[in-house]
Amino acid sequence: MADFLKGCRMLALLVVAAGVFVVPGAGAERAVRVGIYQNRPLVFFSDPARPGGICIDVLRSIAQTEGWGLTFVACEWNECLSMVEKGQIDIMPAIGYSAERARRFRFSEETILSNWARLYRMHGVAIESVLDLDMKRVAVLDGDIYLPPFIDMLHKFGIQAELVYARDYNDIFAMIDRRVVQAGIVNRLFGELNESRYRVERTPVVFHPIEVRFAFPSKGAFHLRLKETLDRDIRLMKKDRESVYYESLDRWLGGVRVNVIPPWLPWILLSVGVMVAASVIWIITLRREVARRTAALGESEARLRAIFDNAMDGILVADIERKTFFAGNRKICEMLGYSLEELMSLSVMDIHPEEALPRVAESFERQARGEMTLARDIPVLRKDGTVFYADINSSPVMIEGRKYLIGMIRDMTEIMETRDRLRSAMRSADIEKMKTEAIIAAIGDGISIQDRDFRIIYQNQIHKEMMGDHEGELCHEVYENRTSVCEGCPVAMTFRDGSIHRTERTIVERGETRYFDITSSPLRDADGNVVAAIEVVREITERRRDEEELRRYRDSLEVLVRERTSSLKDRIKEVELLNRGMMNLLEDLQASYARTKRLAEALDETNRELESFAYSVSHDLRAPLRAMQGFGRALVEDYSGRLDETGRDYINRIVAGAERMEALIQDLLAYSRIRRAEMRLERKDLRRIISDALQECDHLISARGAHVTVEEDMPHVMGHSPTLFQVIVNLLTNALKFTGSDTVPDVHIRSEERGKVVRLWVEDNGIGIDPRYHDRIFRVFERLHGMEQYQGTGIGLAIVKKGVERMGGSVGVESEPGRGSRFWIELLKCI
Amino acid sequence: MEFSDYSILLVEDDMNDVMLIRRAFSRAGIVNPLVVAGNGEEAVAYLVERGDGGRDETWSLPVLILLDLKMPRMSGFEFLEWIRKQDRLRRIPVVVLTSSNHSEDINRAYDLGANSYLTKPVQFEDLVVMVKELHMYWLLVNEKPEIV
Repeated sequence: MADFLKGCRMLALLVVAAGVFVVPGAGAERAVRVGIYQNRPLVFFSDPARPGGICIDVLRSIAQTEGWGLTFVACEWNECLSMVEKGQIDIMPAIGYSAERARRFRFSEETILSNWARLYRMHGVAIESVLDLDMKRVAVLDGDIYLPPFIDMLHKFGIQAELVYARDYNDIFAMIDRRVVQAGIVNRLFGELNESRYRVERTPVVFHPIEVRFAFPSKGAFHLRLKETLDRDIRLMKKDRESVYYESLDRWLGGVRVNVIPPWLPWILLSVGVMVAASVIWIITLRREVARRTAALGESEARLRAIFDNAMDGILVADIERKTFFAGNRKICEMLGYSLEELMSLSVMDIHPEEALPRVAESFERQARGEMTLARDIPVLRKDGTVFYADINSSPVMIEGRKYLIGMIRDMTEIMETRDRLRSAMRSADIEKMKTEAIIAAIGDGISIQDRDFRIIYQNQIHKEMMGDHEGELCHEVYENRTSVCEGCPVAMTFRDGSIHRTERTIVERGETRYFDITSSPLRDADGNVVAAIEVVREITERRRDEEELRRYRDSLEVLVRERTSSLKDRIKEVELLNRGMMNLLEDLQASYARTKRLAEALDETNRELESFAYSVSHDLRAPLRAMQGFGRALVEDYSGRLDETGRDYINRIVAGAERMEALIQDLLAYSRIRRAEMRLERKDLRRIISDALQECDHLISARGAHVTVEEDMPHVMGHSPTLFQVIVNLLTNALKFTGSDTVPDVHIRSEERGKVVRLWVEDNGIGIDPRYHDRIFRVFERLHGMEQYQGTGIGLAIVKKGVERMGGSVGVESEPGRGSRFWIELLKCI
Repeated sequence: MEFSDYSILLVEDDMNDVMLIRRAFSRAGIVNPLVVAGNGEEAVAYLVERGDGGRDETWSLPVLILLDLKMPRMSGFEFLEWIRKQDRLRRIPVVVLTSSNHSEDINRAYDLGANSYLTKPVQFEDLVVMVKELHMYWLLVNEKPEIV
């Protein structure tokens, strides 16, 4: 792409070179490079090779006449300008003339037409003058001839507008159309021809009329010749209404009115217009000023007159020199009884009694000299001959070069009479006042009266003692040290609504706080207007202190209660903590109980399993035992004839083994039963159980020819019958079995009460047991003797021990080999 | 029916015991037929199927059933439960004859309707005595119920 562009540029240079060097071969003919850009209708193009516009039409016509070859160079506006400056373009059409540009370029003398700038605005934006452009975005064309004057204008008016620089005028309209800017500056020709193509609105703002001319590079004879030729040809064209020039104007401008006027004409017109306007404005201004001043004068005169006439005092203006009256007001006429005309014919000496004249004259002179202003008690003579006394206040003035004395005459008669009446009234009022005072003093509260200015006009004695003597002073100044009325002032409230108000006030004085209860009530005049307020002040410091004391006491009580409560709360918290601890403990206990219970259950379960195991074992073991026993017996019975002695012995041994095994199993089951059986202890008669046991052992007793004696006296015990029975049977069996074969067993059973227990002795004359084995014999399967010597399963004594223990008792034995055994069991005595 | 024709059904899986009981029966001089079923199922089959027409000439409804508890396939308890629900058979006296003297087994057997509970003795002589007494009581003394 870059290469392609480069190629294009090379080609363009070749074209230009051809234009420059090849064409001069045709004699005077010379290729003329014309800069073209977009400024419809003066110059524009869509195809750079075929531009159009008024300037181009004119140029083409001239080129034809002069035999020029035209080469068009498309460029942006500013680019065009710099190319002209550098001599890269020979003619730049449609360029506005300005002095600044004239220094850079050579301009044609002839203009194509005149043009000016117009401000266009966006639809709906209120822009009526340059002033409306403040803070607006305005599109302009950089290098545009209208731009410097526009900027200048903005500066002069102090307008802050944001300038947006556009590529060309089309771009400006497009920006307004797209609402990128609110306004834009284009020349009026472009505007009029193109405004319908965009959403733009004309404003009344037009400025900077210029002449559109042709520009040439400022140097070189060639360009000078070009310019002169162009000027000459255009001049000719302008003279001929049928020329290409007018034809082109018609063609491109259509309805647009074109000024093809001499360049000086608008300027002349403009200056004349300005001058006329200026004079008119000046005249109007002058007239207005005169009228205004006249009116002001009249007004002030009338104002003065009104004051003069309506003054409460009589006013007389006298000529100092002649002492005649020069002016007087209505009041003085009334006072003296003269008409104004009469008065004006009189002099100062005419209005005073004769005897007072020397004094009057003296006063007059002194006042005229400015030595004194007020003359008191001057007798004044009325027309009717009566006299009144007046205070005359006068000062000298200069009027139109003459000296006058203006005097204000105040009739004091009335005032003096009032004063007299007041004095006598005051005297009687004083008496009233004293009475009132006495009453007020007796009230015991401080009483003061404030007028509407909050000035203290009265204080009773108590109030004075309370607050100090402040009569004539402003209450807020003395009591509160304030320049304005105090906030919440009851007196102010009374003045506002005419009713009674009450408040409390705290005054800190020398570090001591004093409390006052203040009641304000209105004091009305005869018309009912509130003219003053009566303030009744009662000191309540004592009461306050009592209250304060009470409050403090209550607070301390509250603190106490709070403290107690908080300590109570602490206690409660402690108790709660304790509780929580106990709860935790309880939970732990419960947990461990649950654990224990689980263990116990597990143990129970294991026991149950063991029991069922023992049972099933014993059950299942007995079946083969039965078989051994049964078939052994059958063999002996049915086939003994075919067996010899040894065979019969073998069979007997088998049968005996089976029988012993059966006994073992029975004992095991008994032991197991005792271990697990529920032991409900009941009152039992030992004798009966012993008797049952003897019966059970009857066959053994008879077999051994044993001798058994049982003590007559037997106590009752706490026991479990089946267990007790089993225990005694086992003890008896034991005593009967373990006896030497040559000894007749002799068994003695007796009891012995030992405190809470009963000891039952079973004594025999048997083989005896070595004390070393006394513990061992109570264990399961412990046998001290061979099977051949003494038959037994080795479980009997274990059953005894377990059974007795389960009934809450204990077992023991006293024995020595060869000296018999004395077994004992201890059982709980029945109470 | 002759008294000696009354049959006894022995439900027992241990063939040693069966042989010993047969020997005890003969020692005791009992001539009533002793029919043996190896377990509860066989006993049910004997009572129902043979009773439903599959019978031969030797078949007869037993007047007493001797029942072991621990048996394969159908235990003595299950058989007890079953027979006590049968309209026709529920009145037949059942004597439990077993090795166990576990109180749980004893109680359960009675709960399920056993008429008696006996523990097998180890000594053969004791077994003979027991069989004699069984025969005497259940076949001679005891009034038999009506079996429909």
